[in-house]
Amino acid sequence: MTFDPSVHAGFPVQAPGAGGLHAAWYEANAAAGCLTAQQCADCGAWRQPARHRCAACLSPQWAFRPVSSTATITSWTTTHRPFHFGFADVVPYSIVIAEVAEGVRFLLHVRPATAALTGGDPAAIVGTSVAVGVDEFGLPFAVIGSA
Amino acid sequence: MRGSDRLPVELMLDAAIEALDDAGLTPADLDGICAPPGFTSAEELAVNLGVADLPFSATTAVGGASSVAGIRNAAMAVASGVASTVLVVVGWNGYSWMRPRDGVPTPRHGLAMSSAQDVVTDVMVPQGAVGATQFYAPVANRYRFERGITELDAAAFAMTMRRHAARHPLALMRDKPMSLDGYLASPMLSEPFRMFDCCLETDAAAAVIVTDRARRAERRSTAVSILGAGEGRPNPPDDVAGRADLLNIGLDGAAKRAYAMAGVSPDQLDVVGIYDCFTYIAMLQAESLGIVGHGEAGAAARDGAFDLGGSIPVNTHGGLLSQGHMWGMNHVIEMTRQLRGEAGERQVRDATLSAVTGWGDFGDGTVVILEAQS
Repeated sequence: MTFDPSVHAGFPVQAPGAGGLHAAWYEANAAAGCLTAQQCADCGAWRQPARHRCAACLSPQWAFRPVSSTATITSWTTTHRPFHFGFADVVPYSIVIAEVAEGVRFLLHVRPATAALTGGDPAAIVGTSVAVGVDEFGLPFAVIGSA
Repeated sequence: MRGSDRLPVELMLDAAIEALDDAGLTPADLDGICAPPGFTSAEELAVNLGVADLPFSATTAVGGASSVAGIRNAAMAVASGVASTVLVVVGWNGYSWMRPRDGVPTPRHGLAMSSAQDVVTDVMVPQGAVGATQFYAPVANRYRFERGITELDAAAFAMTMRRHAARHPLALMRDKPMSLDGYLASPMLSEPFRMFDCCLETDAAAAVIVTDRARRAERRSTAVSILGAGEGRPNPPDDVAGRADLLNIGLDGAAKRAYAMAGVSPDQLDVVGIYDCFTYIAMLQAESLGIVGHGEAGAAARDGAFDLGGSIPVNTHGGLLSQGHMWGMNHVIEMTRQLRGEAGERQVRDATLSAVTGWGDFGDGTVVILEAQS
């Protein structure tokens, strides 16, 4: 992906520039209007991020299917210092790892950025439920406190 | 150093020639080169060292774990008879590449692509995770959550590294002591990492020679023996968020395999080098390596266990946090000096057994176990 600051300025509105299976995942999210994950067509195992084969049964047959729209935070970070100038206007912002009922985990930025989890006590943050949405580009995001 | 005006390959050639000289060898003795995953190649190093025929080369692209992986590759080549004398070298302008200056050359080839690349660019960057500090922070926060590690624990580890650096003539932070107040005042970058939880940006190179010739060649310095080595990866290796267990790291398997190969246990180690890219990540590795139990690294740091004179001194040169970032090869060199008894005021008394870890990409782990030759 080419990091295009004109796109990333104004985060969290940005278009992923992914390729291959990852691009297909964003397209599937956008088409479904909700978060999806890869599911093996043979054994039913879920996986994320997208892979060519099922690690459980080695099947190459799969489809992106909607998953639960609520997720549970397993960890997070809140970024205060932008590591790229494209994010200078939105710090601090949070990124969480959250697990859905299907048992797969996603990296998700928190919208709006002003809802960042700052000064966090791990015990107060881990286990928190979030709602997961996707934007018009199929980019998923988490919303705190509305799950 | 900071502000190099020379290319990484030039720094690496300096380090290679110095390492050969230290071993009492010359480039003519080389029949293997383990180049780092970036900035140069085995071929470029060979031609600049006058190595006309190169029977063995190997590079394992595991980021910061690549230095120790290179030593393991070299040891396997020597043990199998494929090669007898292998150069393992790393180097970069980790400070200057982000700060280009007029008239200073920049390398035409950067870091080699690693397995993590597609997931980083396609899945992580779009979420706003663009750098190592952000990639590892959720691991550190999960470590805080599961094992009760605190900010004061991280501070203790950072201050330990700084105390060590004060004893090393080449440490970048030699003359910059760190207090608890100073640690707490360092800016928060990406929680839980403050600036002083993060390693230094450094222009440097370092090299090691792995050989079976040192036993018979006249040499300047005492060699140390490689008793065992290991490599491992978390699952999946190319993505952090997808892991069922965020605290499962490559070192878990690597250490198990290395101890088995060496026939030693962690309680026998006298001094260790831990890849301290970040305080919390180094403490997690200390637990994985088994020098302290799970959840005990924070108390160990606060109690001085990792200090010179402590129960298991860690990174007596100051590590990546306070000496400099040489991809962990500086840890291998420091532990070698310890086992040779050449660490001066940093010397751990009667140091005979050591381990050095590597950490790279998204938690790939390597470890080598070293023993003093009697």
